[in-house]
Amino acid sequence: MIELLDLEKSFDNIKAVNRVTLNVSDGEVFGLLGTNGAGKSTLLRILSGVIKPDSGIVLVDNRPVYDNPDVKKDIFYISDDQFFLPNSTPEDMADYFEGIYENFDKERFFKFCDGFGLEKGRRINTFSKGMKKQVSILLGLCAGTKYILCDETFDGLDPVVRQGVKSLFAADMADRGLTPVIASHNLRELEDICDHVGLLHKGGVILSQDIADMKLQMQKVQCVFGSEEDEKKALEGLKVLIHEKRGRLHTITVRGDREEIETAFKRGNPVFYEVLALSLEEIFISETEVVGYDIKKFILD
Amino acid sequence: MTSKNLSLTEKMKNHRKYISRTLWTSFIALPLMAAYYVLALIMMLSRASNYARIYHQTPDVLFQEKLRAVSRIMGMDQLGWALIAFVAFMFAFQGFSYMFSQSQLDFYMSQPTTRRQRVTKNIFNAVSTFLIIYLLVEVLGLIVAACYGAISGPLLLMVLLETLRTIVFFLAIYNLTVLAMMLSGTIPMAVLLTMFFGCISVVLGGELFGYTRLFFDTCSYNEDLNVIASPIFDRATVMLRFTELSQEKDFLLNTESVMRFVDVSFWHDLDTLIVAVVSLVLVGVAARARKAEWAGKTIVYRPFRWLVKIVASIAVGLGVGLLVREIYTIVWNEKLYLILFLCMILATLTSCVIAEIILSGDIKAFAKGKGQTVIALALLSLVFVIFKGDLIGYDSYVPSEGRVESCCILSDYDNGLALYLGQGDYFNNYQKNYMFITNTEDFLKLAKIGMKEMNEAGTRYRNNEEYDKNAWEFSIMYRLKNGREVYRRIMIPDDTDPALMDSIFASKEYIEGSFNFFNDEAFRNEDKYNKKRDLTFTSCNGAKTAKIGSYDEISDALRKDLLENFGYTKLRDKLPVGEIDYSISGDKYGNLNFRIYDSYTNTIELLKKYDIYNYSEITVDMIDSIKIVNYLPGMDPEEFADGEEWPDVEPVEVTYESKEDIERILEASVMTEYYGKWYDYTKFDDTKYSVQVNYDGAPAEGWLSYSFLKGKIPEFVIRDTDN
Repeated sequence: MIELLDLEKSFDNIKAVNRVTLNVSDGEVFGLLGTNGAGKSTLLRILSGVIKPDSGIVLVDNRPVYDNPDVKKDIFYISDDQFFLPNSTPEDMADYFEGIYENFDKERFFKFCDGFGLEKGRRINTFSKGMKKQVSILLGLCAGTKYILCDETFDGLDPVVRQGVKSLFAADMADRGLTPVIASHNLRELEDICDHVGLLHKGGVILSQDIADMKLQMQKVQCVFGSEEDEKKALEGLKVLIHEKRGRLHTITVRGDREEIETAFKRGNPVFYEVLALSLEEIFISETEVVGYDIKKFILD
Repeated sequence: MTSKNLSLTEKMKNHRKYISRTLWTSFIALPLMAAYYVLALIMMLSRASNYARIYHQTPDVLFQEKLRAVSRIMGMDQLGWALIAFVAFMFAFQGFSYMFSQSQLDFYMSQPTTRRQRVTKNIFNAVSTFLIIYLLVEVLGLIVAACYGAISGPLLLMVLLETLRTIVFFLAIYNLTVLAMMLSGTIPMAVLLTMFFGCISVVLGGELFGYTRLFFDTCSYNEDLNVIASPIFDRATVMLRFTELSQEKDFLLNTESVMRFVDVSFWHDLDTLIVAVVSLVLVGVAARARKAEWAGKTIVYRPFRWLVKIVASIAVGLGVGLLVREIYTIVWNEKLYLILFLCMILATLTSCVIAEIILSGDIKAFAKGKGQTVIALALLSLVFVIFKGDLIGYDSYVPSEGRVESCCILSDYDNGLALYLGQGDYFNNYQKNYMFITNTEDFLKLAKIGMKEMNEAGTRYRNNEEYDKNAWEFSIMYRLKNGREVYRRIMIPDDTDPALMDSIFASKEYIEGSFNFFNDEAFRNEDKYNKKRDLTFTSCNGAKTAKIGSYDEISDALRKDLLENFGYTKLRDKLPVGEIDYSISGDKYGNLNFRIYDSYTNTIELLKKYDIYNYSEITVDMIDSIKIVNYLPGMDPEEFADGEEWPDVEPVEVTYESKEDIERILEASVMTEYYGKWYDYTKFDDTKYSVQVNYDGAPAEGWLSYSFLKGKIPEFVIRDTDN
């Protein structure tokens, strides 16, 4: 389990991470979402022991990370700007990591390379950007570490590869309890893979929640009321997050479980009502607007 | 970079991996070092063999020349240290340039190692790779040397010692470069900072040395620049000295000849070792404190950034001061100190602005860091005040008698011999090596008088007055009991107590330490191969040459004469009667040229034995005519102030041929053909007149130079030439 408590990190006068408290449970895929400059990469660098926080606590399985090889051998970090040894091939990199990580599985790596169509004897600097990302991910998966930290790693992968990688993640999670932490500025990249999402903005955490819980705890209802009196009756006692009205059609986002909300709306005797499925995007927009952030322009590119 | 506990085999395997990952540095280092230590050695050895064949050298001489050739490549006098410095610089950048790249930092620092392990492993890999390459080429070099028959025990000892020195030198340069990298955030800044570390002690040391010469009248030019904390300076300095030592007769033929090198290099090598150790410790401290996010900054530690700015700006200010002095040298006076100071301030201010722009990477930052600019200006002003006001008492320093072991007077006299064995004059530092005056009481008395006069002369010079008022200028050296050597320049006026003068200048210690005839074994040895052996005596009566038995005869005679007849009062009223000349030519060149007084009876006896002593007084009968030239007709030189130019008037020449005129002129003048060191030249009135005695037997151009005695210029000469 990764625990962050009151974490702070500044670069000169810029606060990159501001009192962040998060928990990453074992065996779940943790999505770290945020705009450029929100502090995602800094947070991952702190988690991987590259940089030291100014204050706060970072514990990985109850042990501090920074300058601690015993902990770092359980972590594989794939940075946004991947580095490979000069003129190296995937095979060279596998050789290198074999000397670094005790459980590195070279055979598995070569098998994956074949599966993804990556020539293991070809120089990596001749690969495309997406292929380099694939090499990094495969190296990370074969390192046999408990945690894999991916910074914008999925951005730019084609859907087929992304699906393949997701399958490998799922398999490793099931087989050996891999816990991926994936940072991205694009919510759509994370929606179908993450179990838990933390949203960062300007160095701070806006929210951190299980996606399933989020979906269960928020409903979007489209309805038409007979009168204003009916509308009041229906919404009485509900925690309305967003309420839009076009003509007589109301679109209302409400916090609460589906059953509770349906009961409330029936009380208002609407002409028509329907509970719609909320996308992760909509949940985020709703949650962040509530706390005053206009997040749409950042996360929906 | 692994956390595993590895076996030796695994370590070797990892090392092979390391080398394969750092191929570019190894691929550059190995061929370069092989080219120098193997190919160049082959060339040197074959050159020595060819030379021996052409010039018919004996097997013994050839053997030593081959050893010299090997030593020149692999011994302590090798030139390869510049290559080693380059390799160290390159290895450091190869190993630690990851600190400047965020992607590489992410890659390496997320791996399961500690910072300490990472730095230690990088250093270990670089040093071990260097050692593998260096030892490989050394072994190959020795095999080549053995094939050419150029191996001896002393040579192997020399190579072993040099290997240790090279390792220390490599470590010093490598650690300094790594330290510079640890303190920088970008590669260009790391390169600049490495240059800063490499040069700053030499630059500041050289500048302060220059200021000592500039501001202090008693500063001796015999004092050498001494710089600490600079491995490059250490190497370059001792290499020059080694080049001289490698010409010694017994070089590499015995262990002593090798140990002489160690004596010369010990303190410099210790300095290099200290730099290596201190910089390694600082690397450890900096590595511990360095943060990954500092990549991209210029200098990562703010206080160090300030220090660099201040020191670099002061160095520029001092340098500009020296430049200004150089420009104004020939017209230097007291008032120019103000201009010098203003230029120094302006240069420091400008360099502070430029340093701030470079260190901030922002041209708009030129006005920032005012605090450091003020500190730099204050320190520069302090340096100026210390030198200008002599706050350290340099110009008045005379050590107390109890602190002085012995004293020495440097290069004040023509000491006789010059011998060129291939690297400058063998007798270059004769006085320093052989003169140990223990009569410190009288020496210090003389030194105090000389310091006072020197300061007054300096002041006179800066005020455009006459610099040298009938005095002798010397460089002196005190050997202090604590091992220090202190140099000064003094000027002893000619009215100094003769007894005090004789207590030093007539002493055995002075004479034997001043004239190199007393320790001329090298010259005597070379003379054994001298086929010519012509001794020439030249006097006012011309030159005569004879073949003599050997140089030893002259040396023995001169030694006796100098001990018996040299001294201040003994020569105060004498001028030499002639000079002797003797040369060694052939493979090596040596020369003896020495003025002979009539009191040098032993030498004169020798000259007479070979029938070449031809001195006799010039009499009226021998002279054809005398030409007098008056350079200032109708005027008195006393009318003109010191330094004031004389008017451009046509000199008046009158030639006298009558015996009577010639006789009267001879009575009023003295032959000054040969310079006498202690002679009282103030008795002459030679500012306005020149006296040329035309005589067929004269050694050159048929005339001799005379000078009128003060107040004795014949009336008819004044009358004839002043109108």
